[in-house]
Amino acid sequence: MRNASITVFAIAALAAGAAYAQNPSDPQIAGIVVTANQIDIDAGKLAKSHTKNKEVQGFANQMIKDHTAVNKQAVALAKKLKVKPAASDTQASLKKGASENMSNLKKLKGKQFDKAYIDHEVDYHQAVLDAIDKTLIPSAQNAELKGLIEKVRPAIAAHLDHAKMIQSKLGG
Amino acid sequence: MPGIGRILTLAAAIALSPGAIAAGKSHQVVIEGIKFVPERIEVAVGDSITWVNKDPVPHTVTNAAKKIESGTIDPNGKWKYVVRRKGDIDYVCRFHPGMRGTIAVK
Repeated sequence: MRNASITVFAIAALAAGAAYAQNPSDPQIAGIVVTANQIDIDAGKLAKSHTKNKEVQGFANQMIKDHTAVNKQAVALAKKLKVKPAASDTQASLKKGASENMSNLKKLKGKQFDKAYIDHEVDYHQAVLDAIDKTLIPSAQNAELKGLIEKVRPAIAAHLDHAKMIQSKLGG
Repeated sequence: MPGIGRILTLAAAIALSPGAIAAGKSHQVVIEGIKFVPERIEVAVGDSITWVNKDPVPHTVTNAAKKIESGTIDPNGKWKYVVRRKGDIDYVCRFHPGMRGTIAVK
C-alpha cells in the first residue's frame, strides 16, 4: 500500500513537473489520456475478479465502464484529428506506476486487497485530476482535445469522491 | 344516412386534426458534468421528457421503486419517458452515486 502511494506521488509530481519543464504536445497528451484510462480499466478488472465487497465491486465496474467510454471517445477524436498518440515521460511513468500497483495488489486478498485498491484509486484519481488541471488542459493546443479533457474532468472528480466515500467505510 | 365513405373520411379528419388528441409537451434534461440539468423539472401528466447524455461516460435514469429504468444511456445517447401519473418522482443514476434528479408531475 505504501509502495502504491509512493508510486502515485511520483506520478503526480512528474505530471505537475512536466508543466514547468516542457509542456506535452497534443499527440503526447492523447497518449497520456489513453494510457491513464487503460490503467484504471485494468485495475478495475483485477478488482472485479478479486473483491467480494459489493461496493468495491460496484466501483470497479464503474471504473471499467467509464474509462472504457472515455477511451473510446479519445481514440475516435485522435483519429478524427489525425493525432497519433505519442510516448512521453509522463506516459512511461504512468505505466511503471501501474505495473507496480498491479503487482502489489495481486499479492493481497480480502479486506487487505479492498483497502489497497481503494486507497490507490483515491491517490490515482487525485493525481489524474492534478495532471488535468496543471498540465493537460493548459498544454492542449487543439480545442476539441482540450474540450474532451474538460468534459472528462467532472467524471474524474466524481470517481475521486466515490472512492473517498468507500475508503471512509473501509476504515483507516 | 351518411355513407360509409363519408364516415371514414370524417373519422380520418378527426384523427388527423391537431388537438383531437391532447399531446403532452416535450421537455429535455441534459446530462452534463455528472449532473442532471435541470435537477428538478416540472411537467404534466402526458408530457414527455428526453434525457440527452452530453457527458463522456454512460449514465442511467432510475427509480427502482417506481420501475423507471432507462438502461445504459451512452455518451451522445438519449432516453425518452412519458409521464403517466401525478406526484414527484425522484431518480438517480445507478452508476454515479450523488447524481440525483426530480420530476415534479403536476
